[in-house]
Amino acid sequence: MATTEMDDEGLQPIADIDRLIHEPARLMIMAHLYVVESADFLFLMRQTRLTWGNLSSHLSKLEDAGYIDVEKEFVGKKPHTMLCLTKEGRAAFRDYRQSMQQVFDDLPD
Amino acid sequence: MAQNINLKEFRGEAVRAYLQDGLVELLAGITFAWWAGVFFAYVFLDFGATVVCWLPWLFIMVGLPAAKRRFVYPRIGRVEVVSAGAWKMVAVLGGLVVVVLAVADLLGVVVLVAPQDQVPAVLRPILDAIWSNLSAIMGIVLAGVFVLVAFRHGVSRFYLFALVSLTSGVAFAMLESGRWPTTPLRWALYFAVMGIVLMASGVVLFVRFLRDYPLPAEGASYGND
Repeated sequence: MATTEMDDEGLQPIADIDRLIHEPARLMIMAHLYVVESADFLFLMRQTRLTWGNLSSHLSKLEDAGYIDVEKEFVGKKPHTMLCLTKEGRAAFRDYRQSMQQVFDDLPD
Repeated sequence: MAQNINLKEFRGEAVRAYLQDGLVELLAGITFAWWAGVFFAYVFLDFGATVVCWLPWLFIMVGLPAAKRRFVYPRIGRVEVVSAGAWKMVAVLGGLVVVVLAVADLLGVVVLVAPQDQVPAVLRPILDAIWSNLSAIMGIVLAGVFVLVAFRHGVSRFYLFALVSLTSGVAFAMLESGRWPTTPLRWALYFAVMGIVLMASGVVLFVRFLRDYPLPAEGASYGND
């Protein structure tokens, strides 16, 4: 066996990667929400540079998974949507980071 | 979408976005100017009303969210960078400033008003030193806070505020005034300088913000509905 052969056990974390977060757009959304307390739709759209439709669709998936909390309120007469990570969302993002770090740490040079 | 995932940078971006409208500086500047007015009134009009020093907090607590709602959120959206736990820290810091002002009041009473024989001889030089250098102490502490924010979040103009706070605090601590009460005058001048610098920066940033981010067309929803 070649010495560069990967250790299957070492790459086990890759099987545990959360695929919902792993998608680049959703990863960006989760990362932006992870570092703040909460943000609204407009702020996230500017930061992630996603289109209205894209962002809306990804947010729905993250909300369905229980990773983000969507709070709708009225500011004056206008509706306003605030978004924040739930406890589960924060934990899932932390686990994702750890898994990815472990995967790359275990890769041979 | 070709962005790097850098959580530290994302946090810095969020903080800079929160501060870019200049409203925090503007309101902080008004607070300092108010305090300067209170101390100038004491120095020149012999009107001691430091008890009203807390009033600007009320103004900030009500004024900042209202101004953000009116001018900022419709333009760039809303972000809350400070967690509920950290707001407690901010409240504690605000309380500390009030405590410092109260201690300054107390020191003033002890140093200026109390009969000399009632103050223990050991404490006298220490109290005198603290009293006469209060503007320097305040200047150094506030400079530290500015440097911390500037360093952690990349808000480079805060380095300038730190420099102004440090130099004015220390410089005014060396000021001597024969005619008027020296220490309150030092405080008044320190707060006046900080108030003017912060208000000027706040106004410039706010005007630039309004110019750079016009209101979206009427009816644009941006997914907020």
